[in-house]
Amino acid sequence: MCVFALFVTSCEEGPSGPHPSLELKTIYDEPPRTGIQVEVSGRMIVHGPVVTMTSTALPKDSIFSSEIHLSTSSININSTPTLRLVFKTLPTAPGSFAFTAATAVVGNGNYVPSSDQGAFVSTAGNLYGPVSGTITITEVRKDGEDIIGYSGYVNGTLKAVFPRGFTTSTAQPYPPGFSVANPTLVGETLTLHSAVFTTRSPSRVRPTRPQ
Amino acid sequence: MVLVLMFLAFAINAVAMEHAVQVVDSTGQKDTVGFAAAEPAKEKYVLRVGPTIGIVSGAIVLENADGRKVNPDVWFMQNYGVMIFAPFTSGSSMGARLDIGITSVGTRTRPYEFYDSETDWKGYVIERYSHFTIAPQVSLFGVMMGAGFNFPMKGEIWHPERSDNKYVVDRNTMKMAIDVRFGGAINVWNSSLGILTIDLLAKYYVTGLYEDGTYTNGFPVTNLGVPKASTKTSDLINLTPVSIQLGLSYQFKLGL
Repeated sequence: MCVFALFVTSCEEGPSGPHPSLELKTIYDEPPRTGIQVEVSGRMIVHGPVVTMTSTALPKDSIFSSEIHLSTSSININSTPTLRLVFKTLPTAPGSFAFTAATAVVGNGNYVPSSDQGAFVSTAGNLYGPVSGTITITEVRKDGEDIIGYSGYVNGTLKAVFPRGFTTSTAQPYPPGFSVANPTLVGETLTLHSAVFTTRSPSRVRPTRPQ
Repeated sequence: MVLVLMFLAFAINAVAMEHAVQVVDSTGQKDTVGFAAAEPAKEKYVLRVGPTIGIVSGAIVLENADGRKVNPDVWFMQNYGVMIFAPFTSGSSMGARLDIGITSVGTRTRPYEFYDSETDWKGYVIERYSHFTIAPQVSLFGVMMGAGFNFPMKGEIWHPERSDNKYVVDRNTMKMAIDVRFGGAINVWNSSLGILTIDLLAKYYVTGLYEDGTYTNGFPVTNLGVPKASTKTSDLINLTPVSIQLGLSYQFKLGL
C-alpha cells in the first residue's frame, strides 16, 4: 500500500527513536511531600507474545569493557542484567550501532543467545537476543581518555533461543526449526519498542583500541 | 474492499443504464417525432472527479489507560487525496462517493500525572498516525455516510518541544483500521467545469488503530509513570480516536 502512497508521504517501519514517555528524571509535588525527585538510569518498553506491553524502570547501571548493563537490581560480574548492550568496540563518540543477529551457543549447559553487537533483554524468566535493531549513543562522557558515562536509546526486535515452556525430551531433544549444525534463535519474539538510558554509576572504562 | 467493488460496479452499471436509456430513446424517435419538441432535453450523466484537501483536522481519543489523560490535537493540511462521485441517476444529487488518499489522526496524551515534572497540560506528547485510506460513501443531497479502510503508513509520538526526536511506532503493531464517517459537502461554486465544495467530515475509528495489546501508551500507570502492579492483558487499551475535518474539494464534471 505504501508503494502507491510514497509519492506524497513516507512510510516508516519502526520502532525507532526515544519514546517520549520514558523519562529518567521526574520531579513531583504531592503534599505534604514537595519537590521530590525520582531518577533512574534507564527505562524500557517491551512487548511480546508472552510479555504484556509494559515499561520497566532500570535504576542500576554499569559499564564494562565492551558492554553497558542496565538492570532492575544490583549489577555484578555474575548477574544477568535486565538490559545488556554489547558493542564490538565500546563507542568513543555518538553514533548508531546496528544489531548483529544472534546465534545460539552453548553456555552453562544450555543454549544461550550470542552476538558481538546488540541488545539482550532478560525478562519474565527468559533471555532474548538481538535480531534486528539499533543502539543509538547520543552522548559519551569522558574524563581524559576514560569513558565515564553514556546516554542513548535502543530499538529493535529480539528473540528467545527456545520457545517458552519447551522441555527437552528423548523424543524431541530440540524444538521444531532448531538445527544443531546451525543453531539459531527459534523462540518467541520480543519487541524492544524503546529503551532510553543515561548511566549514573561511577564507571571508568578505557576502551580497547581496535587491533 | 467489498464496498469499493460494489461502488465500482454501481458506477459502471449507472453508466451502462444511462447508455441503454439513450439507445431506447433513439429507437423510439420515429413514433414520437411530432412531440419531440415538447420533451425536455435529457440530462447527461455526469461523473465528478477531483482533488480533496483537509484544511484543518482535529481528533481526540475516546478512551485512555488508567493514570493517563488525553486532549484534542489539531493540525493543518495533512489530509489529501482524490474523490469520485457517481450520481444514482442523471442529474441526481444522490450518489455514491469514493475518497482515496492520505489521512492523519492523532491525539495529545499526558503519559502520567507528573510527566515532564508538570501537573497540568504544560507537559504532554503528541501522537500522530498516517494512513492510506479508501472510503466508499453514500452521498444524499450532500450528506455523506460511509466507512473508511485505513492502511497504516506511519505512527509517530513526540514531545512538542523535541519534535526533531520522534519515536516511530512499530508499524507491525498497527492494523488496518476501519472508521465510520458522517459529514456533509456544501456546494459553494458551481460552473460548467466543476463544483467547489466545503467538506465537513466526522470519523470514529471503531476498530482502534493498534493490534490488541500493542499500544505503547495503553497500559495503566501510577502518577509517576510506573506500571500498575498486577496489570492484566484485559487492562490494556487500544487507541480509538474520533476526528473532525474541515476541507475543500473541487469536483470536475466528466459528462458521458
